[in-house]
Amino acid sequence: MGKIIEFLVRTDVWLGTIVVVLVPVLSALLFHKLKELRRQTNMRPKQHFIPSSIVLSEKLTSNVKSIKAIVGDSSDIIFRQFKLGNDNRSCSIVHIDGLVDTQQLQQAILHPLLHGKQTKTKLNLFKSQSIKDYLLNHTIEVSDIKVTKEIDKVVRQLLSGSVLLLVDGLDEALLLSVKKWVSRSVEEPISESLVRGPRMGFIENLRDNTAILRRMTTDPNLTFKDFDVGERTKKQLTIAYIRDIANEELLTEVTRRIEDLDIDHVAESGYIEQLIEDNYFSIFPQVQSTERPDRVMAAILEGRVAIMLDGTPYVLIAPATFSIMLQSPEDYYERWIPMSLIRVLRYVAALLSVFLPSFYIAFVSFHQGLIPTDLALAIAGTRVGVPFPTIIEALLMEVSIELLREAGLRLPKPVGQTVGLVGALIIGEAAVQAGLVSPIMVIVVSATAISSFVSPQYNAGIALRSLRFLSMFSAALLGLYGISLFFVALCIHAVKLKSFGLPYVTPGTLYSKEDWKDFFLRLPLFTMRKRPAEYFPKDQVRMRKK
Amino acid sequence: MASKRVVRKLSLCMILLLCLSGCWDSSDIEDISFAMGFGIDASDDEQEPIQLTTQVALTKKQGEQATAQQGKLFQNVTLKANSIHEMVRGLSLQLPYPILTDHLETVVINQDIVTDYDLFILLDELLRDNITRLSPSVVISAQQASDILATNIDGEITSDYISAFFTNETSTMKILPKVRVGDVTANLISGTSVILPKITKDKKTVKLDGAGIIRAKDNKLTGFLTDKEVEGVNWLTGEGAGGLLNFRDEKGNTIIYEIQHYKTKSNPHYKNGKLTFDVQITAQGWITEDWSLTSNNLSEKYVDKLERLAAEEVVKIVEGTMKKLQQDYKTDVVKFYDSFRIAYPRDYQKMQKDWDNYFADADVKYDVKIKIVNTGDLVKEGKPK
Amino acid sequence: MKLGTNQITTNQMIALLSSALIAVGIFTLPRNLAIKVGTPDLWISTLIGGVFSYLTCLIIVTLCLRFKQLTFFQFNKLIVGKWLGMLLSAAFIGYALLIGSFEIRSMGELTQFYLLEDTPICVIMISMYWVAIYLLTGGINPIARLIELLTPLTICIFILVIVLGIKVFELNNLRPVLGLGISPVLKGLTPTFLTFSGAEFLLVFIAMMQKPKEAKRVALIGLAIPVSIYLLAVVIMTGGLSVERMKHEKWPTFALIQEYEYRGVLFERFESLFLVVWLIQMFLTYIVCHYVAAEGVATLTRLSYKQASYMLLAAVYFICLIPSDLNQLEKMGTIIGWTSFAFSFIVPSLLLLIALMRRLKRDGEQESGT
Repeated sequence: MGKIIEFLVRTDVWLGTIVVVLVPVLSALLFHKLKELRRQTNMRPKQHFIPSSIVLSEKLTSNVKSIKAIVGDSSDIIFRQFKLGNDNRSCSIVHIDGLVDTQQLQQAILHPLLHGKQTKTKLNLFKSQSIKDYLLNHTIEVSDIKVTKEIDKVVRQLLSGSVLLLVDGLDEALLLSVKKWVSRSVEEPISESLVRGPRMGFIENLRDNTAILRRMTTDPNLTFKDFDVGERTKKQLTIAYIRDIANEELLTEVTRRIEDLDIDHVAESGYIEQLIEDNYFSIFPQVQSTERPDRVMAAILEGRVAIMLDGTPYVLIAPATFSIMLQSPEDYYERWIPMSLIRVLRYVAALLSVFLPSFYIAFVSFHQGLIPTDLALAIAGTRVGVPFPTIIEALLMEVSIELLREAGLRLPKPVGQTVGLVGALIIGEAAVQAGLVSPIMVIVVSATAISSFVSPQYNAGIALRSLRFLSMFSAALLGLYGISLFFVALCIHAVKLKSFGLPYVTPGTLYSKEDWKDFFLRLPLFTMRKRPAEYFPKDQVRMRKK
Repeated sequence: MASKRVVRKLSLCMILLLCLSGCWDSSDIEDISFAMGFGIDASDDEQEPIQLTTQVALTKKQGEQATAQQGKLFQNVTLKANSIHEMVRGLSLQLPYPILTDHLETVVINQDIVTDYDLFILLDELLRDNITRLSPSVVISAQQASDILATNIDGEITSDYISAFFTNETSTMKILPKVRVGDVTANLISGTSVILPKITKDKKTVKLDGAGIIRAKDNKLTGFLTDKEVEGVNWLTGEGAGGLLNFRDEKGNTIIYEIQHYKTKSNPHYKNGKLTFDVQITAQGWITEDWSLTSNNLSEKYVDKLERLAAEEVVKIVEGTMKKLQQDYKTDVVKFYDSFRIAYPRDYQKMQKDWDNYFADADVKYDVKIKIVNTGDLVKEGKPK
Repeated sequence: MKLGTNQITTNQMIALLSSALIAVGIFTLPRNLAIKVGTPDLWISTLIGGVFSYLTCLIIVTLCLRFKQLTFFQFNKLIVGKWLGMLLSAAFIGYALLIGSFEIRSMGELTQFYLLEDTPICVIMISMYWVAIYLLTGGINPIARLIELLTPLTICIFILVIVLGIKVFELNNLRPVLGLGISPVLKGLTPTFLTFSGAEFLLVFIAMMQKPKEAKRVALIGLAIPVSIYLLAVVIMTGGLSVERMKHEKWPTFALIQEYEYRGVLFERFESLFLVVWLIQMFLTYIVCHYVAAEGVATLTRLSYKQASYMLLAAVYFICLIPSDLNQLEKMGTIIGWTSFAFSFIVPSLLLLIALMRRLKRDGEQESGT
């Protein structure tokens, strides 16, 4: 009894109890608050950049005036007034200089309009309906013509490169698409080069990108669905999917998130990625991004959804899981045995890139007894005279490697290589000679760096590299125990994380035979008769024979 | 705003806490003295009767590449006290860095100290300790353990050197299998006698030479076995990994038989308080040296003869060993208790405490079969000179 | 997608059950068994204990399937009335907390003994609790997923480490079989049965299963995995160490791993690997216990599940500090064993009997009608 009372009055017990509860509660509250931040609605009212009061009238001069009022006096906007060839009606062409194919404009639009002759039908040209009919059916030699009344659309189209034709007596505008602007040619993507596979990457122009996808299949179910994103800039965004494969719920979820987007300007698909992902605190990328059309095609054939944005070659694919981050299209192009081995190698590399330095720290400064005797003596020998504890030594080296990498990345290629060489060889060698770091540390750090570059997905590589620092700290704090705690915490984070409703660690959990055929190993193609079950595709069978 | 400041302060406190705490166990690898070997001796001092020599690896030397191969790679520290752990801790007075016994390779025990002290007591600290492993080898020495450990062999740490001897097990029958601390414990706990390899210093080097026997009665040293007798022990336990058998033919020519593998089986019979063991030994191997010039090694008759002679030689060796074990030392170090335990579990329970005496009175019969599978590449015609 | 459900799949259930069963027992069972049995027949005791556990599991499953989608905390009221049911639930919560704290404390002691000698044990335990609560607040699905993710890994590594003990394995140590008859084997049943505690958590989890009909299969496989692991461990340990030594080692499992060394392999010593894996396994067991307790508190009181799990954190921490040394901790283990016996065998069979007599069944008629 006395013992119990003695126990109850121990202050350390109470203090511990308070700490053990208070810290998680407080941090949970903090995180809850931070998560709320994202949900807060913007205070800005819905903006209208084009006054809706203006409407198109039948008078040409007033129409031209109002358009001028909207777009201002920009020097690149060309207004050209002329008279229609057959009845001297006033017309006006408005277009942006540089976004229009001038030659086509001359030949297919201006020429027929100026030299038009009323031939077969007797048109009452004073009726607006018939002048429209005349223009559309008999005169203009452009295939993509839109007729609209909405001033908003008219201006947006004009500014995106359409030629605007205004005719006196018509309260509608004709939008003629003879767009042409400078665009990059299709090249091999630099960030995802393969030894074998199509040497083709997406480019900045959305239409070209959809065309690339379209050219890969004649499946009528390949569907593109357009959105305008960016409150002010209204960029074009397209989601691509196969109608009879992609899961409905996934589609509605993706659509909902894209429609919910609230941003001024979307510069790159990275914006979209960050705004539609599930958990913005996570270090893992929850949406896959790629420049490779073959990758996108394979993904949408598995029942995933691709999100393409105008102005960037990076296409997003949702949902994404961790295992996808370690897969490369090449896995399927080469034979299955070597590629399975390579895939296992990637998993090993991912583990190494996170845990190697921390294991080194744990063994060298905590559990010297657990490494082989000869190795222990060797390490001890090399560390003689190194003035820092292992963690500082490791941080020093890791940070300098990251610096070198970053510096090499930004510089022009030849200079970048020199920086890499100088850094790796000279600084490393000199640091060892000066006794600042031990040679074994240099080996550990460079092995780690190399394995972090193995990841075929650049953003997964960055995530793993940042995790490495956390794991090093936990090793320096509690040794092997710290590493295992960190590992467990990482796993917990991963199992809690979802990408568009799909657990991030699939197929590590929710075992399914189909998914495991393409997880650690890449089994022969004929074994993968069904699409991965993890995405719940509507059409599950991929190959006929069974 | 206020809450934000509180949050900021709190998180700062957390980070500080993390930095201030932590790293309780962190110590850098170069700031550690690796104990490689222990030597336990008796000392003359009444108050401090035990003397412990600790062999510490010198890591500094390994860093200097040029001089690594020469010079001493270790440092020995000798202390006296009346308990082992006290001495291990006493090392802190003489060594700059804390001692780590995780990498212990060898424990050398002087013969005088085990005649005075219970072996179990001497090893007690090592077994209780949470970091020392059970794998260091235990050897017994005729000379002072401190002298053995002080032997300076170029480029080697003595205790590492000693423990490496046991990898030669396959090449000779005169080496006992490595006896690890764990094995000794197993024997001490189950109340059976232990046989420990004996190490002696020979001028500038050390060598294995016979074995010492610790009797189960009081865990003290009873005596030593010679090389030849160790060979017998290996034949009887069946735990050797192979080696040579040297015998002579009827004309006195030396013949060497190399054992590839052999098997020993002891079948106990216990009737009316009479204990007998039938020992069956079967061996397979080849002739690697044959000095007789007149024999035809292709004839079956000759090979049969050699097999018989070899078997006789084995019986001779084994009988010699057995005689010493049963009559002089009265200890069962050849693990006959194991086969008896399996065959007569109930009787063994009663006899366990006094097993060594039962063993000493037991009758042992031998049945040795040697098989020669090959007589080597050389063929002699068998013509008389 | 079908992923948002609150139910757990059959695979997850199997992993959950096995990780609830594999716990500290792997360290304590071999010695307790060796002391009780004294002959090399330990493995027979383990096997019989496993079969007996399966029988109790069947009782639990039959009971739970009578009350579809109700946890133990909900259906015991229906059987024995409100107040007695409350009492049973409270006792069950207490028991779950006891196991949870026992696991964490043992984990802390082992870690301190083998890995971090100077680190205060409260730091070791508190850091573990923090990681645990991060998972616990997510509810059953992340828990089930984590267990499904890690259990195969830990089991594989554990089997590997134990099987490597073949190097010191001697068949003679396992002989003779039944040399002293069957009576020592029977003596060993108590510690074995006490070690296989954890099956009673099925009382709560069956209600959450996606396909409750597969509960019997879950019980079979979920028990077969831990039992075969224990069996393997006991066999290799007896062969490698001999019964006599197992009696005298504090942690025989560790003694076995320290016995062998594989030179030239990067690791050479496998304790570190084993310890890390075992930490994770203990963590998982603790998570299961804490979840059950929090679920119980949430059912009984007005607290939400999250609030309950935060509060229980304090309780668990408090309980795990009560044993002042290792001997008391072991006593705690024995108490847990007996309580476990009550909850896995006595309580379910009594409840089942009463339910059978009163013909209680939930939703039975309605379901057959539709």
